[in-house]
Amino acid sequence: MSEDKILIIDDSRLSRMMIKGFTLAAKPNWEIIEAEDGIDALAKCEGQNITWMTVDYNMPGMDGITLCIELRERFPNARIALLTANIQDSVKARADDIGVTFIQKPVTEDKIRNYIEN
Amino acid sequence: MIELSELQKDALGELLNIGMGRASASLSEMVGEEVELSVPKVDTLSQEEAIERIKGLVGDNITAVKESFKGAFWGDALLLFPEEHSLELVRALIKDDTLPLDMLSEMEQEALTEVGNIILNACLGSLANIFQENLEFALPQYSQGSCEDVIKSNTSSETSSEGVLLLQMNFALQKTKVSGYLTLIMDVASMHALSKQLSKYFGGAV
Repeated sequence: MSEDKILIIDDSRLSRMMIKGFTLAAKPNWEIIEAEDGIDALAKCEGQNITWMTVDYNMPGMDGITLCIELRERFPNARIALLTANIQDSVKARADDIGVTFIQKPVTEDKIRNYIEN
Repeated sequence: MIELSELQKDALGELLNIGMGRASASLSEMVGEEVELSVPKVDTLSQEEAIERIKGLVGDNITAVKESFKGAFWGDALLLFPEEHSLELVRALIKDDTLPLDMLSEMEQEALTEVGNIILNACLGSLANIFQENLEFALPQYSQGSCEDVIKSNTSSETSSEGVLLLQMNFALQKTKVSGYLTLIMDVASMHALSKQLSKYFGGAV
């Protein structure tokens, strides 16, 4: 039986592939849901019990911070990480304000492992 | 043609150096090897001169990832590779020698777009942080073709008449023998806005 569910939201298929691969390497029993933008993510999380999320910032349509706020309302107890190449202090501060972990791209095995194991 | 003082160019070069330092650390993390950086070059040129300059460095057939930015200053950031280097870079990124060529080619565009996104964000994000400003980035756009077509189709038309500010720096992966170029192209109004940021940052010394 699956232990946890992680929602991976990124418009880059390569990034989703890497996040998924590193997550499954550390947590082989986790269920993975992938979404390519905010609208897709909100549709796919409907009726699900999602415990972990990684959210890209720069995506078509809704930006990652706006999406994190929406997701936080639906999943108050989920662990959410903004996983982005946008390293600006202003973006980090906004992530901090809404209680979201900031992880700087590129995606590496260590970063994903640290996130889901701590 | 507009001009920046030597001191302003020097200051911009130094800030680009910091931004590219951050970007090369990200690239090195992705490919697992050392990235060598050139000295930054800062020039004000006509668009035609800028194209000739870029063509001389990257060659006539190029792969580009563009990210436009706006905020306290604005323009187009381009990551450029000679076309023949792009598959090698994808190979270095995916780190899977067993992947068949057709699959590698299929991933090429997405992989390079994401690399461009990471490098351009790291570089521009560092500049925004230095100036304590916020920049907004458009989504990265991938293109391939002749140097002239790629540059012309990826820079806004207003940049052509009065000249452009060209900031460029090249990077090379020693093991994989891949090189690429980062260029920032800004129009005259943006150049003025940027020089104001420089004065603010350097306390009027620049």
